[in-house]
Amino acid sequence: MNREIVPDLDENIAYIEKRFEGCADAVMRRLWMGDEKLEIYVIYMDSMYDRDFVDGVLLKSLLFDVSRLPERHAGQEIFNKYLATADVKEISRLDDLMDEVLKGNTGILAAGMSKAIVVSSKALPGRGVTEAETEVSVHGSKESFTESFRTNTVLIRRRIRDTRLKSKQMTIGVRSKTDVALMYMEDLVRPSVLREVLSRLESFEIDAVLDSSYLEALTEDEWYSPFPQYQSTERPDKAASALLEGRVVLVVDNSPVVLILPAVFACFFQASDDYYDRWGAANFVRILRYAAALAAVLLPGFYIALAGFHPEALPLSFALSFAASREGVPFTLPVEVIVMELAFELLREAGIRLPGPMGSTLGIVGGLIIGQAAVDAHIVSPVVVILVALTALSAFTIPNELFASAFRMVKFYLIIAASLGGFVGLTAAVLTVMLHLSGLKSFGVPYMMPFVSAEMAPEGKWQDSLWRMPMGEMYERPYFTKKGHRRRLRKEKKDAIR
Amino acid sequence: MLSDNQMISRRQASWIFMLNMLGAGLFSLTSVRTQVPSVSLLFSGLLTILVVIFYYMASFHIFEYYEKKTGLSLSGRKLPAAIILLWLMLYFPGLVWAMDFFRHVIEDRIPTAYGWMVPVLFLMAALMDGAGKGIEVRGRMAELMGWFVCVPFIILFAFGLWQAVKGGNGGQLWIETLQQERSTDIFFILKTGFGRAAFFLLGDQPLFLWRCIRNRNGKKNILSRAYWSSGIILMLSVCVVILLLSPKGTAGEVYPFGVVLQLIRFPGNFISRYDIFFMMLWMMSYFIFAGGMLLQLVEAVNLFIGAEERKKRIMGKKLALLFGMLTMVILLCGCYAEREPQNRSYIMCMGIDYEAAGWKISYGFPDLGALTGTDAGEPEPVRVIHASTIREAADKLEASSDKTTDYSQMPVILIEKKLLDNDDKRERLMKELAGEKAIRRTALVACAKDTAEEILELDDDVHGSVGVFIYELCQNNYENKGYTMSILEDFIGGRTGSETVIPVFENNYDIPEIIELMGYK
Repeated sequence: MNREIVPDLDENIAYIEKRFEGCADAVMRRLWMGDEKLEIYVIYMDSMYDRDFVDGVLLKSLLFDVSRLPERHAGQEIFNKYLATADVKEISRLDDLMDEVLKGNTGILAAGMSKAIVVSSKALPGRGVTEAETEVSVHGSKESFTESFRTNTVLIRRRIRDTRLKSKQMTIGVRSKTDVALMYMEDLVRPSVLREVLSRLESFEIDAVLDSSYLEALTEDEWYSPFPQYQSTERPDKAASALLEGRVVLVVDNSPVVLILPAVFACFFQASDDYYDRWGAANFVRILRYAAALAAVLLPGFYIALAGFHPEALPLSFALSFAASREGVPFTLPVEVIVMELAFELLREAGIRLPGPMGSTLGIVGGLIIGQAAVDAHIVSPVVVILVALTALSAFTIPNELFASAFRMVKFYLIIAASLGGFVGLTAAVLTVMLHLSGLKSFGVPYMMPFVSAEMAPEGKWQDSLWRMPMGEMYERPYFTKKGHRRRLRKEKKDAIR
Repeated sequence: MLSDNQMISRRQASWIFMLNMLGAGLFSLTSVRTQVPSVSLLFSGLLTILVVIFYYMASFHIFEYYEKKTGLSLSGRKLPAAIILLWLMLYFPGLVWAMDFFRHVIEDRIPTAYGWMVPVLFLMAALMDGAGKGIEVRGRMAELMGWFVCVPFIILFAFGLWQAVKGGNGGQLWIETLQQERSTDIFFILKTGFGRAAFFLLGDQPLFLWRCIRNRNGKKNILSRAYWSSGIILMLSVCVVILLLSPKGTAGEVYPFGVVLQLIRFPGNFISRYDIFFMMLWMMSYFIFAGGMLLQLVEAVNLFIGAEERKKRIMGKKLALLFGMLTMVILLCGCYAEREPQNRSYIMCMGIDYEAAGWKISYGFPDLGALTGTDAGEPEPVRVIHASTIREAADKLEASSDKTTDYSQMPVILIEKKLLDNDDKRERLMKELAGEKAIRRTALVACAKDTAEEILELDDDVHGSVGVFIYELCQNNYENKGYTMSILEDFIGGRTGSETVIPVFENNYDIPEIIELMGYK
């Protein structure tokens, strides 16, 4: 029940105090102002508000600067004349007022007034803008998103100073009441995508949204797919770039990662440095990344199929080397590969959980010492150690962590298929993965675009997929953009860019 | 059968077209018992293309004529149940034939435990593709497969062409082909040309029909009545396939996959060595082919039983579940085909001498320590086995070894010169070797002046393996001077036009030395 604010201040206070009973962090106080003519009630959450502003400016001006108040409509007079900020709003319901207070704003109720004043005074504790950790860029901006919702939207706005950048704000989570901003370029976004995003965000009710990944899980097309259907990033420049491609960005309070949608397979191979680096070098690295992704997913299965089932396809020297290296190893080939892969996953997980320097030390200890010791003890063969290291190295080149995780999962599926059926099993498994990818969509866009359904893509679909064209040749925005607004570079008529 | 909300693009349709053509081509290639003359193949390919184009043009004209004559638009009409029944009747024999055919090829090309279950696996996958996900996903899948299947083939073709040009073999190949063929085989051209076209049309013809009509009329709906005429043509196609390329006619025969490409001499005889990769590509194209066929089948069933959208989805899920279970069972069936590398006894050289009671076969093994630079244990000595047949010798060898005999890496077969010079004995030997499918067809054939056993005993003196020594000797000192060494396939495949040579070895102070290069025709 969302109760109306009534002119009787005591009644309002009784309701509020009952709701905040047991909340020691809520600060509530009755005050008199204007020569004790008007009783007001101030409420805010301790340590969530800007103390200097509220105590030093707002309350000071109300209590000491207001001397003459009219007999009637005194509250409205305060709102109109005596608040030392422009960021205020009136609220007519008590529960809405409490929601605002819980966000860190300051609520003021006045006797005889059936509205409350909410002054924006949020000053939530949080870290500042720091360097991106998982998407490091050599040449580009070092900034990364933070847990602060407003800081994140500012970081994006700072890069696109255009009124056509719209930000639709909403609150999701019955208990957490998390702020979510849906950002898009008004003239570039496909209306159908925008409608779909909004309808999906409104299609569920949940008690709390603690991270952006909650929204991803709740609104994606295929929850069971290992492949992410949202692109997540901690880089503001990446989010800004996505907006300029006509995509939608979701900023979620308390999450340092923003979501970009729609997302297709090729998006996950694009790193920020691809656009800041020289054209040739950037393309070389991107193609290398694709090759590495193939290696990351196929290499162990390929090895098992070759060495265990079809050695005739191996050159003689390789076949003999494999045989020699396996002498005395107690595990079978598939078990050996799976054990080593799992050991690596353990090392990786332990490395992430341990504090920074210890994590890297563990990596060295695990990778070098344990690996070497295992080979010396004939527990595993040196070929498998090299193979697992190469696979891991390849997986690390994929710029998106969630996408790389999908590849790691699929790798195990292919290992099992190859262990059971050699190349026949591997082929069957690859076909099922391809089939799955063919069926996957992200907000109506086929996941494998532009490799499939290329007719949906406009001219210039190959401008930025397997490779990217030189910046001066990238005339078109990609396929996410609304038709008629795809031109992004025009050299002859500068004013004609839309 | 295809509804207007199951949209695929022209590009996707083109990829499906290409993949079907590829699948059909590969199937017809593998159906050929002996080596295929390339001129005949070329003409049969052209015939296929002509038949397919003619078929589509004719179909379209029939529909156009029908619309003009009756004034009726064929759009949006329901397919009569009788046609659906006819459709099912047409597809089932084709499906059964395709499965049976695929089984024979798989059994021949992959000596593992999969057996007849493999085609089922792929058909189930195709079912899931076709029935579970619909034409839209299938179109996208076809595009992806285009990248994975067609592009490797194009690269391979370019590589082969480059090899042929580089080696100056183009003219030689042409002459060789003509020599082999003497005259163009009309029957072969007709048989494979029509058969391949029928195979192709069996896969996706309704789809292309639909595209064709939609493009011309600008309407999305299917012209259902059109199937009256196309059904008749399809029936003929199926009959042609079943009659001309029936499994009975091809069962039990050798399927020389990629024989045309084998005419081009790839380094290390690429095709035979990497047969398995071709099998993978082939499976992929088969997947697309079977997907098309089954899509029509399942859509027909849905129409026939009047399944609603929800029921179709449930059916798709059930099929997916069934597919998953079958995959596990099938893959588990293949488990015993796996052998650890260290448990394979690689034969490095096989020496064959003739004796009154049969053959004296010497088997040379690798000295892993010497060949890989590791401490991989003591080398196994040469094994000499007396047997009446090659098979018996192989059995005796396996009966006395703790490892699985593996001929896949065998670089050389050494044959006693007296044996090779004797036409009857040589013919008998080659017949027996042809029957041993595990023996590597690209093994170099060398000759021992005295006995093969004597040369094989030199394993210790050449640090590792006589087989490797002979192979590398020939590669490094003769092949690069323009000599082409004979391989086993030349003998058992009957490539009589080859200008190849056979090196004759003798023991020269414990070192195998070439004393002569015998011409072989």
